[in-house]
Amino acid sequence: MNLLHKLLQKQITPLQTAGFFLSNLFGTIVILLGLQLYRDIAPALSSGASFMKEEYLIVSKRIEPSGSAFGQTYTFSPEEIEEIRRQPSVRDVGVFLPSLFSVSAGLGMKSTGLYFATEMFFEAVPDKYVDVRPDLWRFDPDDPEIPIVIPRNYLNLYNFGFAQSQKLPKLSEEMAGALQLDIRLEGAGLSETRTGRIAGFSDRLNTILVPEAFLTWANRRFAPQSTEKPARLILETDHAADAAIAEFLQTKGYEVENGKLENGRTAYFLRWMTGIVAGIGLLVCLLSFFLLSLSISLLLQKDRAKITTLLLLGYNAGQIARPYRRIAVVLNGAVLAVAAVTTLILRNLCLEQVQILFPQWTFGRTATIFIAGFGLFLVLSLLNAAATYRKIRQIGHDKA
Amino acid sequence: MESIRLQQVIPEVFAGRLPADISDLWERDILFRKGETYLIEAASGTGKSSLCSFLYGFRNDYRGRIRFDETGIETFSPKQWERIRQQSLSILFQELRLFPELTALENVLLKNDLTGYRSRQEIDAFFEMLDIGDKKNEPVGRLSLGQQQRTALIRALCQPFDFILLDEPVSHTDEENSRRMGALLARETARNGAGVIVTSIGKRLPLNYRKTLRL
Repeated sequence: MNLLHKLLQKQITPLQTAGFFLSNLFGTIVILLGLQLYRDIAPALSSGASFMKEEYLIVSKRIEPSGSAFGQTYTFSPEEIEEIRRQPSVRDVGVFLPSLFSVSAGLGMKSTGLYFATEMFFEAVPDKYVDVRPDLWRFDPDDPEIPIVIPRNYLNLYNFGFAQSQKLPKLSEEMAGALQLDIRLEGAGLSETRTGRIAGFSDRLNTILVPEAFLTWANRRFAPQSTEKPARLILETDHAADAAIAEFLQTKGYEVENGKLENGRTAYFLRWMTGIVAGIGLLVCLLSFFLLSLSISLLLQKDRAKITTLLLLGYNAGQIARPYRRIAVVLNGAVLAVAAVTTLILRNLCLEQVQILFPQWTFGRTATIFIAGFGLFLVLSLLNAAATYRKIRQIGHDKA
Repeated sequence: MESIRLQQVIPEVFAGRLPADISDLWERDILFRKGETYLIEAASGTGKSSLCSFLYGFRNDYRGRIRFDETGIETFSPKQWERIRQQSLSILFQELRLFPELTALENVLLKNDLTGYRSRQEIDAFFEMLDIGDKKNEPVGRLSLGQQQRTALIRALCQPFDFILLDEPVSHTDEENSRRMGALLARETARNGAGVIVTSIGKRLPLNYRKTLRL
């Protein structure tokens, strides 16, 4: 076989080779990077907040400019709640219970002078909507500890804003969970200090959540005269991205907060974007495949007399195709290798940036690009091989 | 393969235009038998190379039928032709079809690699016998036509065969070398009992011909 290779080894011209190599490389990288980033980012988008199940929507009334001047309220009446509950795809409605007393939280050591304290508030939703381990999410009036879920933004704000500028240590989620907050509750002439413990972080809810049992107890104790008027509702739906529910909420002028709908839209948009990107990559790959096919076809045409003689000597099309196949496989293999490495590097660069913004995200595996890349390599090489074989058979036919 | 039979074969271009009785071969029934040696004499342009192309299966612009044993060759698949060209039928093309960029030896080995029929010693001995032992590592493009014809003969011998077609094998070879080629061919065909079909437009490969046909 060596002589056959020697005879047919005249490579495609360097320009053709480079043209094919670069275009195929570009196409492959675009495809692989698109797929990989989709794999990386899609789970992060769809998972949402870890503490809350996915099919929940958080609904509030839209705040109109000068709305309060007309006496508009932003709380939901029992009738309105009932109406929402009657919607076909709504399985259950929970209300956000606000705290009606004054709350302040402090952190640090008073003795060292390093102490932060702030006025704040609490809200609560029924326990079934909160996906925190039940043993961490309970309240006992005799136990001074209160579990709290805070927005993850707060931690980011501290880590990337405050800690950075003040040269303070950054906190991981685990470390933050170990912190003890001094919670001071005041109202109805009473005051009490309890210990807050961070039980979880939320991406979807800009509020500070405590167990409903605690808030009910505390409202009764520190604000016995007031009644709670819910400003936000939590909806359990069959499918959060359901169009019917979105339309209903729209006509009522309710807003879906920062929630599943938006994530759903983002995920949908992301799918489209990656679809388009991968599509463009595939197109480039196809074009480069035709470039290679054309180059090999030209080469075969140039070697036509040799091929005819080889066929007459008793060589078969498969044997004659081998050197040409090798060109295609070597080139495609080189493209795959370079593309995979480049994609990994680009991906890590991208993810480093993403990681700064969203440190809590866990990313997909890199298996995708290897599987997709190898699949692409296989398909392209097989197509090339088949095209070469056909062309040689055709040369064999033509001479007859 | 024991026989090659031509039944009323004539190149399409000649069909209906050939005066009667002018050819011993076209539009006649001819049987070539294994073990026999045939000479086909022709003026140029009478279809001698066409005949070789028909018999070797790379042209089919003829009328009539050609049979190898009892099988019509028009039924052969590429796969069957591949086997026939490796094992039953050898050819020395008039245009030689050597690869000028390969050496004489490489041209021969290209065939022998496919069939595995000859040892390197045998091949070297062939080169010596035809007086081109010192040329075998030269690119064929640099050899004289006569030397190329001898190289092509060696290549044709690098496979088993029942018949061998030689299309003007000595047109550019001097008498001494023609004699050497004839001797080598006679020795090898005596060994494998093959049939030999030689064409000539003047110079004959010296062999003991059983029958001479005028084209």
